[in-house]
Amino acid sequence: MTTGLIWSAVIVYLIVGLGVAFLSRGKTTNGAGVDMSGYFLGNRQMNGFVSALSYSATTYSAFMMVGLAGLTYAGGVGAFGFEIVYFAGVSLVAIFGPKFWAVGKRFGYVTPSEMLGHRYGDRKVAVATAIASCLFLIPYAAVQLAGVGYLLAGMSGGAISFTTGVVVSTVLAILFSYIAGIRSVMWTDSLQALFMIVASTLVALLVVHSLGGFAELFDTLATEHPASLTVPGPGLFSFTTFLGLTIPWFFFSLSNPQVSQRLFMPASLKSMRQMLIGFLIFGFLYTVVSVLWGFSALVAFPDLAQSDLATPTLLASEHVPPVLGVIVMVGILAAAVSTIDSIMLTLSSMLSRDVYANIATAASEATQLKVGKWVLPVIAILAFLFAELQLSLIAVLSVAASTGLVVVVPAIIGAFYWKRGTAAGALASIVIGGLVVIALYLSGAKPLGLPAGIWALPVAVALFVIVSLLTRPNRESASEFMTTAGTATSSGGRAAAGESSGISPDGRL
Amino acid sequence: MSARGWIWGVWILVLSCYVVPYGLLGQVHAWYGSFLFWCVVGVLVIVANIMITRTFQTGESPDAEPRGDELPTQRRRRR
Repeated sequence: MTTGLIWSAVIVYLIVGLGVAFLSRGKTTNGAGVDMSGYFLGNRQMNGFVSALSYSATTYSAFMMVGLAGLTYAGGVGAFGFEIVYFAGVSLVAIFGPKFWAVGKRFGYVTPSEMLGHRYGDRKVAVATAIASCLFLIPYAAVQLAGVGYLLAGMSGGAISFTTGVVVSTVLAILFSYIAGIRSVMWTDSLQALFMIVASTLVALLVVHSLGGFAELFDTLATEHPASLTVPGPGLFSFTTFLGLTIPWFFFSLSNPQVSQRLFMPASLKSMRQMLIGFLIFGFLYTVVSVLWGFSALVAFPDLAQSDLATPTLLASEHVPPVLGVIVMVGILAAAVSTIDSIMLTLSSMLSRDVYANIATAASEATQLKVGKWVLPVIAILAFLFAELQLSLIAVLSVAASTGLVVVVPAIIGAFYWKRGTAAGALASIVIGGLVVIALYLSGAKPLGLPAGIWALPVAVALFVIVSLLTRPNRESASEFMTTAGTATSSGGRAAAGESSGISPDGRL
Repeated sequence: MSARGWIWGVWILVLSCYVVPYGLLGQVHAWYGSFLFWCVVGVLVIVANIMITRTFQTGESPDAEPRGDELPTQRRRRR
């Protein structure tokens, strides 16, 4: 594949993406009276179709077509099971989504961390959640940038350097998120999601066909790589490894603020339902396609030195026409950028809303927004520097980030279901739990032979419960919060959203 | 079946994702082993979510009318 063809495709993608981003601008995101809710939440008026595509593009990143395909190449069908457990975990949106939506409407939350701070009656909970999210999500964003670096370098045979790929995706992510906030992110996401699914499915069908069809592909796997069709398979997916990978990812839809923040945005519960079901259909297809890529690469190129090269090698091979290969390459680039820009936007909203505004308590919404816009490129540069470290196994690093974020889950579930939960309990689970995860990853320790992915959640749960029982809860804020959340599906949120008490989070913090 | 029943169905599906491939299908080296099983689980998860969310109200939220871009609570929340 020629370098000129790759650059031409990237430039076309850039022009179309920027065009969509500019067209998405509206008075709620770029007018004179724009506020935090307008810029970061689209004024809570996003429709179901766009939300579904954007949720899909945000969730599925370079990890899928590069990382998951690589994991399938290295570990066989266990990679598919790992992703299906994550997929089932998105059902948490059906349970918690209406609750997030109802309390967000009533109390005016912009970020999930702001919600926790208000629910537990302590701004330190909001600050700790925001900082923990940055700590774990910036490396996650960096993993996506590195994915683009590997992709462009692999497909161009090294003519485009790793660093060039990382720079290109960083600049695109900054532009797409900066132009109109969540509106430009969601509309460019939607375009990118459609592009990703159509292009990747076409290539999967083409490659499988050129390898003799589905039956031939699986027959070859059964004959030459029989272990790849079972677990633990070639060895990567031992039961404890599988458990360590899947537990954090099962809770991804709650623990990752770039997706849980989306639960504040739909215009109605009907829109939220469309978002969820649309995402699930998209996600299932995309997962199967990514796994088929990994299997196809295993059959076509069984001796690759590095599993992350499975996708670039496949795309650059004779099985894929160069024009289609470059289209999919842009699809993967789009997948990475659409995840990174959402993460950057969410983190900037958290830093301005939950950190800056809790320090500068007199800061107006306009000032918070200005700070948020300044923070955006700073986060991008940090992610860029992390990506430059060129850490190799993309999927494992990405999961390490999810392991760190899972420590927020007990405080989120407790917020809705356990009135006895306290701010001290939430803080202990997030701060100490997060430090335990970092210590386990840094030291490489596996207590009782179990990886950090298995330890993170039980440690956080134990800390949350024990410390909560030893401290005094804020029953007033808990009661009002849980009552509002409880009205979500029974009345379509009307009681919650329509009978505002006028109590804002700030009234308590 | 109620939404609660379907939610329990999802938890059972998740549990089966560990038990069945690592237990019953551990020696089935073919497409109709773990690959097919996880495919079926994926489809059933979609069905379960359609059923869990069927009670979601269809109306727009009460404050969805064109407006000055702010909720009542937000107007009071200038910091």
